[in-house]
Amino acid sequence: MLAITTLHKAFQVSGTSIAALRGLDLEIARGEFFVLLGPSGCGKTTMLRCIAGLERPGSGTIVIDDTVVFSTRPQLWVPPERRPIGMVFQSYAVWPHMDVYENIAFPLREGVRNLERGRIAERVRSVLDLLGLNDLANRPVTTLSGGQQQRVALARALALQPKVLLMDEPLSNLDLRLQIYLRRQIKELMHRLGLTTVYVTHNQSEALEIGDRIAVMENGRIVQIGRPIELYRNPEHETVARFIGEMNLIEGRVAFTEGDYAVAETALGVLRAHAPRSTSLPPGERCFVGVRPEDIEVGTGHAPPGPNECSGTVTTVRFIGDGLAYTCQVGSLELKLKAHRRTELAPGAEVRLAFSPEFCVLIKPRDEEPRGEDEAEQLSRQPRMAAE
Amino acid sequence: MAVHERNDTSSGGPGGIALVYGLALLGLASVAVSLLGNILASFSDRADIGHFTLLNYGELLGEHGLGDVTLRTLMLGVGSVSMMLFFGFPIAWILSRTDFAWKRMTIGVLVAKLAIPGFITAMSYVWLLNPTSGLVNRMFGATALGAEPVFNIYGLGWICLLQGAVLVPACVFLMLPAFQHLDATLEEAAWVSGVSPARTIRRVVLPLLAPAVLGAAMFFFVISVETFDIVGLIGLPGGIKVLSVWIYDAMHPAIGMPDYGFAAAVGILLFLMSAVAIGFYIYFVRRSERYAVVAGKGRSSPPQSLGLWRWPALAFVCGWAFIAFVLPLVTLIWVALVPYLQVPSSAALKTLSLTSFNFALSYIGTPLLNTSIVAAGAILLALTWGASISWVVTRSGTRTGLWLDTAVFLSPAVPSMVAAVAFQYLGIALYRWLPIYGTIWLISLAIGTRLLAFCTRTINAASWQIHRQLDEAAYVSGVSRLKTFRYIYLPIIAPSLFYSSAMVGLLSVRELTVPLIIDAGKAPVVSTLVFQLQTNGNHNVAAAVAIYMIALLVALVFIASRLSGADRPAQSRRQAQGRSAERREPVPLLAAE
Repeated sequence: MLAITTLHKAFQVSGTSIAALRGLDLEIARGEFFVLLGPSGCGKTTMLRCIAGLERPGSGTIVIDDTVVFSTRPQLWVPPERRPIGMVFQSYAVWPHMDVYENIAFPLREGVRNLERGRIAERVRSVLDLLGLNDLANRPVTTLSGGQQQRVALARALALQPKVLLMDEPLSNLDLRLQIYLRRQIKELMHRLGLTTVYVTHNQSEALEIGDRIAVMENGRIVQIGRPIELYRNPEHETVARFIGEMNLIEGRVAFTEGDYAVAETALGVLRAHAPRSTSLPPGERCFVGVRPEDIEVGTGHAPPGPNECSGTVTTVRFIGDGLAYTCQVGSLELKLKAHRRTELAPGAEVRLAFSPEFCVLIKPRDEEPRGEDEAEQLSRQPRMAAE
Repeated sequence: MAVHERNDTSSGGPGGIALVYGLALLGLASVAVSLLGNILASFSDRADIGHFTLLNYGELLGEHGLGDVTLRTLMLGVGSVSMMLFFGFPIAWILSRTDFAWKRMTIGVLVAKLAIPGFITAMSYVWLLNPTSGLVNRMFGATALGAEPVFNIYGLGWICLLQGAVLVPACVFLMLPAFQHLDATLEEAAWVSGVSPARTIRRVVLPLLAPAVLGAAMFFFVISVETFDIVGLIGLPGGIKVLSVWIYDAMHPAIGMPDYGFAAAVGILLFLMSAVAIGFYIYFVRRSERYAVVAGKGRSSPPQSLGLWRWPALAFVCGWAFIAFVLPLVTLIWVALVPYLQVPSSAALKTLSLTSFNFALSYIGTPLLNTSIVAAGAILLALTWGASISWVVTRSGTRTGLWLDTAVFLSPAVPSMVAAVAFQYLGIALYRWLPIYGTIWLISLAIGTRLLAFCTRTINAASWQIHRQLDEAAYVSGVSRLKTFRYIYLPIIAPSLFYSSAMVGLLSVRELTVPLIIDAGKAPVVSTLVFQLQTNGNHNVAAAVAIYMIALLVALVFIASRLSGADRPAQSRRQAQGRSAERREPVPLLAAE
């Protein structure tokens, strides 16, 4: 339904060129709810605006529903008003001088769709019904709450019967409870309508819950695409590991690989980790072994540690309702653990930690610019601030 | 993502929106004409337009008294601005930083003063204080043969005093925001550091206000040297030569053809003077914006209690109001009601009649129609260009927009006189193809161009506050750019358009300088009618016409002040999303005297 190839986009900021998109490729299937996820400044909104035609990419191709809307070779550009899309903005962007009905009807009447009167009324009614806005039809939009305005914006986009619906952080201006309620509503609605949706957010829990597939972006590139559960289970890249959920990243070097598993030498000794083909790293390469805090098994015995095991000392304990969160010192590393509340340990307790290989993941580190090894190590220890 | 906001390059082909670009460029062209036309004229041969020469500059440099006249023009500017600040600074202070009880009344008088143009104020002072028949002089019996007049209006000092007094409302409205937004915590920080309140004002508050005050001073310096309102009524008959009088004389020779070349050469000198002042103005505006950023987060100072000082403060405000408002108005009404200039007395009271008002009606017909057409034309031009330019500046995100904005922002550096000469010259040069030389159409074009800067300031300010996604939402819904401009952009900025229209209408009705230069006898407007009647000694009818004119202006002032209140409606403020702080433009509100 939507295909993007080698998309590039740079902005000129006071004379210098800043790359916002660096050769993006993406294919989204019909009816898919696709999420672009990433920290602010990663290029996800630029990407969405390129699809909408609100930004003109430097090079690449964009195809919507088998129609090329942008390409550099041959030169082709379809302006936003002629693309089969609908869009919902972060700021709602409902027109303040029109009432709810008119906000939805105006583009149908004055835009390229240019429907006749009767069909406009029919369509407006049907989207008002769909979003439960019937009682508000004749209210000036400025008298509506944020959530209601956002529903009007969604209704306006749906009334266009777009091939692709674009949503740019539509919920981020709403309070948390409303966000959670509306994200379920939206997901359910889009599936019912079978509408292809591209949804931009920086909120990982929103992305995990709402998306059929997620693309995690950083610095104008897509670092990983996958179903939410895949991204959570098997982050292939340091960025994804750091951005989605919590994960201990244990630095090391690949020793060898066998099948879907790799063995890495780390500060915790030799660790065996799951390594799907997409993360294949040659022996000797720097890598991380990632393990989620809830996947580390905590024991108290004094037997010497076996394979994928080590011993450490509890340093802090926090009670977090459904369990206990520990930090544990193992050699020079500090690991985060999460355990059921029945395993109550005091700070200073000696523990045995087991990392089951199927819950350990081999992770590609971020590409470093060539620099001194020490510096690179320092940088990899602390999560890098997302470049604005 | 700051990157997007600034670099949101215009997407899509130009299509119908080319119309908007075209209108914007037309407005820019018109601004360019007001300077380039004058430059061209200054190199034109007097006898043969199209033949270029340096003779005009030679003539200017050889002109007797060039140094004196230039110096006097500088003194006119400095003097007027000093008088303006003498009244304006304390009034702005009283309004913004004290618990003065009569603030509403003061603002009311300041706004009402806009309905009494400078030349009418000057005219009434001529009646009161001229050395041969001035009413005040006559009251002292000072006009008798051989007696020394008590007052002589024909002096540079009086011109400066009156010009200063007339500029006070515009000056106060220009400075007020800076006074009001000064962050109170900056003062409090000084107090808690052990600095006395008086010293705090001297060392903290005044330096912080300085850019705003100096910016206003520079802006009104230009207006003081270019406006012909006071100079034309007092300086011209009084033989007080300044550069604008030279231009007027060259355009209105007693015999023969107007000397455009010489007028334009003088205009270049006047323009250079103004350009320097506008340069400083921009510098000071930038400075005050920098301070305003600091103030953005703070709160304004609690009003200072005046205590017994409220009486001197009231006396001061009333003193200004008396000089600038009450005295001229009372004089005007008195002169309109008596058959000839006479000192109030019981005998004079018996001669009161409405005859002058009837006479005025017989004169005012055509000029009133012309004034209405000029105003309507100026509104149409300034608003069409202004809205188009603002769209390009605030919406297109292109470099063109930036250049356009700068060019228009600088246009007040071209004095009205100079612009008028330029348009008149253009009128002659193009006469064969477009016969608008000396007509109200040319007056309309010149005034519309002069007021364009005011319009773009006002509309830009409104436009920056409105989120661009409102337009983008229309594009992605399949609405073309031109239709979005028409149905989304214009309706949302409508309040600023209405307000600009009222102000442009008001200011073009008041305008004397431009019609006086362009009018070649074919296009009398109400302001030039008053000027002619006064020059011909027909004082009483002049007064009556002036009163009719004031009535019209009062209506326009009322409309404008109503609309300025509705300038930013609640609905667009909701959409503002904090962009206002990012771009708060100094709007020379009501400041185009």
